[in-house]
Amino acid sequence: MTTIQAQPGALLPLDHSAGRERSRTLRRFREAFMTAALMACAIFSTLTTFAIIGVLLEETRRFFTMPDVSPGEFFLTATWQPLLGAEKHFGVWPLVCGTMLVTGVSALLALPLGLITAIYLSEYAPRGLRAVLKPVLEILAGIPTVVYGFFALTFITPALLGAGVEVDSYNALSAGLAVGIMTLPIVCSLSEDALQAVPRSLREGAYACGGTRLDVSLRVVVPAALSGIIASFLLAIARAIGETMIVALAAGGLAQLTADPRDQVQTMTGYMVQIFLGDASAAGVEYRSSYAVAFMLFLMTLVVTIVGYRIMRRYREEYQ
Amino acid sequence: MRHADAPSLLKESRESAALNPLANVARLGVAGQADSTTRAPVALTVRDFSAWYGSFQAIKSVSFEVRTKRVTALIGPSGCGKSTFLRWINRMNDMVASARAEGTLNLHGIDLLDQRMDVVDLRRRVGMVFQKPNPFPKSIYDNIAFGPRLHRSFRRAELDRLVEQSLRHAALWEEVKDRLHDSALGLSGGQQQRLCIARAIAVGPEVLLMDEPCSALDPQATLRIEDLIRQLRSEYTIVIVTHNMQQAARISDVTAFFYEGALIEAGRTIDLFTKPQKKQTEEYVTGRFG
Amino acid sequence: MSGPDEPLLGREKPAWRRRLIDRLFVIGCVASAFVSVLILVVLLGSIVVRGWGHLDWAFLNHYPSRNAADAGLKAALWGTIWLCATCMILALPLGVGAAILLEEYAPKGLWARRAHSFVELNIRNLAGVPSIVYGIIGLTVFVRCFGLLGNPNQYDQMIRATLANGVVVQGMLVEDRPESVVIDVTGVDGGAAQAEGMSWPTGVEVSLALVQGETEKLLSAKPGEAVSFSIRRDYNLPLDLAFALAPAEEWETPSVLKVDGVFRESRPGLLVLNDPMEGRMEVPTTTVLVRESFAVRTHEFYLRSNEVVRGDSLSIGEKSATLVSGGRARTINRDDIQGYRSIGSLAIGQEESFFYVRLPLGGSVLAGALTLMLVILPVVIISSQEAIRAVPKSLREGAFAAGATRWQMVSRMVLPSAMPGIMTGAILAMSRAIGEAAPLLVVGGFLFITFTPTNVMSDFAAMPLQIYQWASRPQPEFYGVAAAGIIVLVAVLLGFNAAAILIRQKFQKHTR
Repeated sequence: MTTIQAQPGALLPLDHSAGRERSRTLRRFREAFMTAALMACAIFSTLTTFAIIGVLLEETRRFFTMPDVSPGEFFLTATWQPLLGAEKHFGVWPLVCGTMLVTGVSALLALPLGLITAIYLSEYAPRGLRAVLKPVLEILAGIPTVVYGFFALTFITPALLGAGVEVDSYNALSAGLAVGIMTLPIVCSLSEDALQAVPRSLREGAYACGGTRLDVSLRVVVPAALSGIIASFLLAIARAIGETMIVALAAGGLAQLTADPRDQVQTMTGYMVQIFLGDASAAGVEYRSSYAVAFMLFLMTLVVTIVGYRIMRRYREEYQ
Repeated sequence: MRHADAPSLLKESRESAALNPLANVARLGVAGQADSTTRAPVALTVRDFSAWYGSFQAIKSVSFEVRTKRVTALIGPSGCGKSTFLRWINRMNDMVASARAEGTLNLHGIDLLDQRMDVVDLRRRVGMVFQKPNPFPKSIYDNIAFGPRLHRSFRRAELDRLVEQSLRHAALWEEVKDRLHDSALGLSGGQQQRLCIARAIAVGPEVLLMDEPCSALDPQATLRIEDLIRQLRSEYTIVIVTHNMQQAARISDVTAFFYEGALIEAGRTIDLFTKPQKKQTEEYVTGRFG
Repeated sequence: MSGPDEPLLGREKPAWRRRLIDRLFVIGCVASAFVSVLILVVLLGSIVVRGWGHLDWAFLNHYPSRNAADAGLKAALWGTIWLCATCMILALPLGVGAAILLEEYAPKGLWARRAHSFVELNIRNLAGVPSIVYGIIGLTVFVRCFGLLGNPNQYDQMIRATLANGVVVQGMLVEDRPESVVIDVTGVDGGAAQAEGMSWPTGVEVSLALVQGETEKLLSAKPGEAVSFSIRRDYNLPLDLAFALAPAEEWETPSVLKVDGVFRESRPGLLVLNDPMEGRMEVPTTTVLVRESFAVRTHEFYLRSNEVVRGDSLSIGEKSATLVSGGRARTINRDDIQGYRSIGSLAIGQEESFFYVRLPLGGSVLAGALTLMLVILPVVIISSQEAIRAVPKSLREGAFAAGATRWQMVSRMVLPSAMPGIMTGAILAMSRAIGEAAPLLVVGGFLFITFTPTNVMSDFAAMPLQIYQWASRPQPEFYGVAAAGIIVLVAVLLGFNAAAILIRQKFQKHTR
């Protein structure tokens, strides 16, 4: 670095003529170009939505205009037999039933367990235990779903059989339990956020009334955070509905209308995997049917997600 | 030689300021500088200037003039619109979606309220120092070089020289010359604020805006900044917002008193403090409210 | 609820009981909180126990095999690396760009504000879309390009290998190696059965004749060496080909005669083509200068009845052409044909170059990466937004006051400050991409792949797909292989998570 040998106290005038002036035109052009490029990035994400809706809508329309298919049959009958047999049947309810069964089992596991864990983490857990539990939940959240599917198939099902529960080798129960384990971290972290957002003053007020920690947690904090907790439930349920690999591995491939989780079921996502793995030719009616199923799946998750975010925004407004 | 004089001047002004805020003004007036105030060319013309945030009118039809190479202090209680006014001079309010303004704000013939005006060029000519020192999380050197690099391309040696000169002008060079490549976040609050001043003058502005530059600093650091402002006065047109009337009296040539968005009175600092024309001004400068 | 403000009414609850209930609740809480720890231990434990025995260097360095003991992860490992690298190159600029626009370019007008909040809401909703739906979109948009550019199989190469013992193997060219050729024989004249049951006679020189266009190459395999066969789905289309021809004596001249036709048969030194308009054509192989494509194509026939028939070519003969469209075969008489057009083949670069791209993308690495990009884009955007939002406002003001333009402010001030946060988010998004199986299943299907990708147009395998394939096999000995694959996958993911945490900690120390 060049140093000017200046006499103490003397200041040279500040020289601003050094260097070469940058082009103003270039600057303006670059500015406009970057703004347009960034805009394009944001528009791309919107295009994705339009592509999803457009493709699903168009292919579903084509499916319904094919011979031997009608919306009436699709929505009002309950036999799903697209591949086997002389006569094909496209009544979607067995698939919906399979999805609901798996989602239901997962909700029974994940929602209470996730909420209690969240209450513990937010209200009770000492620092040391938090330091163990949080990373465990993060790891659980990061494990790929195909691993949970493998776990369901090779551990949960044999364990259930070993415990005397008479399940099929493919069944909704073990798939549902695995989906529940997968959604547990979602319920837990979102619920914990909601609980943490409850202002301290509310807790202090409740303690001042002589409440035990249990009273404060269950009668003040949880009701105050209720909308956030419900939102976390809904977002977890949306994930469970859309889960694919676990059910493809562990739930089976037989579309049937049943309420017994020990049976084999086929979910909407499971059917799509079956089709795209190549059991059907690219232009056939059963191939197109998967688009109709996908559209239905998309709408179901979209509604649950939107309702979830609506509720979530409400609790954010309440305390911010 | 001003730099060498600083400590004695500092000491003197501190003592006298403690006794009587106006003593210093009087002394400056005696030196003859205040008389030349009104003869200096106009840098910024303000005519019927009003500003809004949404439907709230923050500034109500203000008119006055800022003179070249003079220190103009804007005083007044909180929320009187002085900071808003300052932020309009280099259009920092462009970032506030609801902000709009009317009237005339003219800097050396440029209409500052023109929507088509290049705000980047404007900000190059009008530098700004903020209330809280905001050094960038970069090295001291890169902080100073940030502005020049935006506008010009330099050879290494040229940039080195500019950085050094800027730091010297901000009276910071001696303290940081051995750690130019350390993080600027390691400096003390007063040093950080002088770094921000060096950063602003490195771009080569004509006007320096200072928004309560000393409010986050301790008294010792404040005195150093004030001393620096007095030095910079010979090269830059300075507009400073301050809460501190003694500070305004100590460092400014012209003072403008804002109250509830209106300009109550503007004039030579010595006049405003010794013989205010308006009752509100008198009450404020004598500390009866505010 | 008995309020504390009415102590005289009701019955006093004994304090010891309340304390006991509180105590019990805490114990219940601890127990249920540790269920998750227990689950993780059991999950990882059961997988490690099952897979540890299969985990060795050979496992990482072998291609998949029908034999559980030989099966390896090499193709899947490299496929995943290719997919995720391509995916991140695409997703990171797009995601960070969108985040910058949303955070730094605040809209002013009413409509701009509405558009802004719509995009914001839209990204939240996209994050909730099941990944298999993205797979379907990827299949329609990237793999098939809406069917506008012809069949994705059009680039597959058909090959006919004549062995010295007289056996003819015909199928799709999968890979051309110096010492052997990988041929896919599914769906070609019962070729699958032929290939499955084939054993190489020992002590006999086996030579493969390759019908490849520019020359007839003769390759030989040593006795006992197997030629690998690959099975893939959904191939039942015959072939079409186009040659760029030049008469032998004019090879040095730039004038090239282009001949378009359907491959009929190959004789020594002679290729026989069928042109839909001209009929039978014989081309000496010595005159073939450049082979342009050798592929299945989509054709459009304009009939005299003003009808347009479009479909994949099934066969184009001298008298008639048969097309398959909409799942049905249709035969058209040559006399009815007025005009003809072959659709497709839009390619950039040579097959050897890394930037080789062709449309439609087919089940290629690029199509898979683009689909994964759709899956992780909302994650990247949301995490980048959070990182950008955490940059203090004073830095922005300082940069603006120095005369920075908005982009200068963003690129020199905001992005460097937000970079650790953005990188952390990117790594987490990438670990999501590594673990995703469902969209890849739809886009690429699972292929029995015995090679690593060479460019973004290669077919791919991926770790989660390979694990799924092993896990869904009926033979339980593959469970161990799947478990070994899971160990590798989870180890990679934990590594990524650790890297994210390290980056976060390192930069938190430096900037604060």
